[in-house]
Amino acid sequence: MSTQKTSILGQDFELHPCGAVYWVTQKMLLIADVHLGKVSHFRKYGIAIPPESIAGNFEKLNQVIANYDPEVICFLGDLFHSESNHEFKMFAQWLCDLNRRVVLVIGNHDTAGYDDYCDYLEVMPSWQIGEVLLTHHPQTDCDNLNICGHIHPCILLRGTGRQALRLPCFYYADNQFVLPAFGLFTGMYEMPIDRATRVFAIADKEVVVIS
Amino acid sequence: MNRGELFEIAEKWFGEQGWKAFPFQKQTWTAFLQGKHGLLNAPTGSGKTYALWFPIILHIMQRKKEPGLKAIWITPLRALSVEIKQAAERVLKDLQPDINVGIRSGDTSSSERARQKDKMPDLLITTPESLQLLLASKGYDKTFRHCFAIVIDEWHELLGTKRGVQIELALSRLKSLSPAIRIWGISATIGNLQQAREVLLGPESEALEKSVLIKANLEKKIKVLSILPDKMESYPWRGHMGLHLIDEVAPIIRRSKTTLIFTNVRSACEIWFQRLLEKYPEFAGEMAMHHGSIEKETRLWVEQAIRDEQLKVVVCTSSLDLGVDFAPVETIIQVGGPKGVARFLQRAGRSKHRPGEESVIYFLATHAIELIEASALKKAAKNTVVEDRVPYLNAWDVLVQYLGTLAVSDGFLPEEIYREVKQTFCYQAMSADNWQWVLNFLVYGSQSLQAYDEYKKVIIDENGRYRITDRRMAMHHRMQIGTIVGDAVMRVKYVGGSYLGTIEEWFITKLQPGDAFVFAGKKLELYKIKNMEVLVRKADASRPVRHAAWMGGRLTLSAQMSELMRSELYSANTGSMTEELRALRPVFERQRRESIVPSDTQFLIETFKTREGYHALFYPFEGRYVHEALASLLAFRISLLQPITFSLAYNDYGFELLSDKPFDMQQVLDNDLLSAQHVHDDLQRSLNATEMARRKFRDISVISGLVFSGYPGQMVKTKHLQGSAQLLFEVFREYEPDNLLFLQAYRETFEHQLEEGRLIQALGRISNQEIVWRACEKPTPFSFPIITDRLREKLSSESLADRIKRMTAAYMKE
Repeated sequence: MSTQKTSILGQDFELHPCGAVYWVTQKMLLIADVHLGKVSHFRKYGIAIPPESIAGNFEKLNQVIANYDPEVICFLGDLFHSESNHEFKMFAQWLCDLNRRVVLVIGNHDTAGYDDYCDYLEVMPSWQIGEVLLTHHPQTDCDNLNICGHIHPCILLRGTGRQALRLPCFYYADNQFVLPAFGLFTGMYEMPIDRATRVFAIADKEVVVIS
Repeated sequence: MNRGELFEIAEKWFGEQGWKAFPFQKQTWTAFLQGKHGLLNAPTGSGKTYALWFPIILHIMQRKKEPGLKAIWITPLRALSVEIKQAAERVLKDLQPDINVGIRSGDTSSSERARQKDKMPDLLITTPESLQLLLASKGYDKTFRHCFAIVIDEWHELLGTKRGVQIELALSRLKSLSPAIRIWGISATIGNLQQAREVLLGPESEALEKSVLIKANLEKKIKVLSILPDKMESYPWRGHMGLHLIDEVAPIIRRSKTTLIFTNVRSACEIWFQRLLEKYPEFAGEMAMHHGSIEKETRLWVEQAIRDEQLKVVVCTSSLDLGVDFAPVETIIQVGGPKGVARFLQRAGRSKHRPGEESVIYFLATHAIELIEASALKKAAKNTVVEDRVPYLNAWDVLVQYLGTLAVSDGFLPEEIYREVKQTFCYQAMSADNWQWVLNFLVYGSQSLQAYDEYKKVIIDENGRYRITDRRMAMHHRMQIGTIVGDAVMRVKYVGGSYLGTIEEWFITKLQPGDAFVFAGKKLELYKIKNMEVLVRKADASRPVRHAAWMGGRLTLSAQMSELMRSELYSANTGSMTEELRALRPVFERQRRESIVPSDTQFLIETFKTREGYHALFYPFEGRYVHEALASLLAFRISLLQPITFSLAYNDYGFELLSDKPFDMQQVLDNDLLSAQHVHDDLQRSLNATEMARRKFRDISVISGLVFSGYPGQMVKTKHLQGSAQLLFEVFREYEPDNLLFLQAYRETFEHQLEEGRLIQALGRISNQEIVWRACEKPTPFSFPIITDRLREKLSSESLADRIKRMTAAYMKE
């Protein structure tokens, strides 16, 4: 496991290979696009993704929380994938056991009712903390720093013999700092490397500086 | 009517056409009418179609008329159906006018399909996929009840592919539904004909015992003519695709009625078409192009135009390979090495292929070293040394799809189907555990029952039948059958409306609206992308353009071809050289300045340094797949000696390890790094194996329904189920590494892709040779194709040509 540290607009962040970002000064763990329930959703439609992978998301969350021991965990949207299913109940249980402050900044997939968890989960459309704006969708009119998700960024690396590898990445450009999708079985969207100010790719269990 | 009387009718009919029945045709009629199964080994244009249509029609005359499907003719390519139908109708018109013939394939209209559902034609011509679709229809047992014959045409093409496995499974079902059915295969000559029969009929089966192998034995004289350049370049490279000889090709086209120019890849096909058109506009009205990505209407048009002798030249790929009776094709030109003897001979057979006439095929090497291939092909044509088609074993993905097909129509009882499947060649070694694994996969989506799991696909009904009852799932499954697996493709159409064909997604993503490119022989401008379709307009003729390209599967040199090539190469050291090898003298001379032309007792390794780094070249002449594996293997083993990373390159003749640091080749040799020991483990540990398995897994996941891919352009609301095979691979790797489909990807990689068996043999051969290591000052001619291939990745074609010109000039200075 190897992480990378980076500083944007005077704020210090540590990028973890599981896809999470630790905001040092705020003692906050930022996680985007977990898409809980996606595996179950596919299985409901007859696509046999190994059910053992469902627990995987929770293992990853526990690991990264144990690593940083944050005061706040903020989910930058798309925490849930679609209709409620068993994975949501697992999440409710997990929240209850966690006993920390958890905030969800709403995303387009978060349509499920949150009444089940309102005791454990703070829900808001966006969160302004000082000069930093936390949202799900990337904001184009942000003057300072917008940390967001939604895109599931990745970059394409070319090897010899027409080999190409797509790696999820942390992508910073034009005042937007986009986090990779945390969830285990999420798709990816290719970002142009040359237009970025900073790109960090996740390869195996390492975060690698690309530019 | 007895057999004698039936034969009289047949021979009389032949006589009326001005023909005489061949011995192999009569042998086939006899065997068929005796109720036997069989494999007929007959090439294109030999009269194989009548060898089997006749006894089928005679048999109909023999018995009382029942309604419904009587015989099925399976052809792997839709293009052939029309020919086969016409052949049958010709006979029926005179002998049995009440009997009708129908075609059912992806090209069949929905109104025609509805008509067939109501009343099946007596004789049905269809594709392997459409046969599967028939099994996916409710009440299919009634459809096949009176079917007494099934003919699998071009069986050699299906053998060794997953479609061949689909046929094996379909036959296993048909044998139970219609116990009297006669199974016949028609195959071109391959190395393992007896095994081909075994695969068709089932190993150790009753059918196999009651079968015959009939060889048409028609001596087809094939003349191979190489188109040689006046001046041979000393440094061969694969840039111009043989186009520098286009002026040699034009006169050949002019003096023939029809010429087919075969290229190996679609992009070469497009480029050749374009250049011919530009340089020889006299051919303009009578020229066409044909390859797999061109819209079906256009392809059908081209095929018909060839039959009607309206075209003077057609540039094509293997898309026109299968045996349509294009009698008017006079000349065949093969551009670039065909990679396999059987393929080459088949193509040669396309020219003037009325039985008995000599076939002429021209070979145009795209770079000097390919002339060695030409030389080898000449020998091959003389001795008919042909490749085996290696059948699949334990293709779990196809089995999953097949069981889904049965579940979607009438459901199945596992014990019954298990017995049938176990008797096929592919699944003969399937264990009860394997079978149960597949059933669990279908019903539970897992090998262990999970609490709270909502998986639903195949259910077990109250009678113990396994079925898919969900209508949407059934529809998806039917759409999935016969999906052509390949890179994601997008349909290309004019803004005005008509479709041109399909292009691979990665190529389009490199373009911006307004960019121009050539596709389907036309200069087009990208207008915009909408709904997975590429909208284009005609581009200005004067604009600089790039040609559409495809990633498509590159063929490798077959084991037979590479053996022939090696022996040709070795003969360059003797006095007896063919005309092609003699033309290569300038290349050999320059090669011998710093290096050697290896003999059969030598294995050549070269090292040199350029501004790109330190090159190490190896020349096993064993085909690109084996070289890919060997390169990976060697790179891995060297990295165990010292920390070093390599860039790998390979082609059919050799491979290269390129590094920015020098390494000691002597160490490589002293440590016996070319040993055949531990190959399997080392291959597994080298990165490439995983990468390749990932790619193989893509096909497997589509076939087994893990990844849904509808047809391009079809408005299917399954965006929410779009998964990616890459992601799936990772999830399986981490959470279910003993999943049979996941393991299959690795198995296929080692057996088919890396050709592990062949690789080990190659290493064995090398260990008996003297290793000759030449440390050179600069690149040698043999290395040139490989090192310039790498530059192709980085440079545009103009700068590439430029760079190569400069390199050549520099190296020639001596």
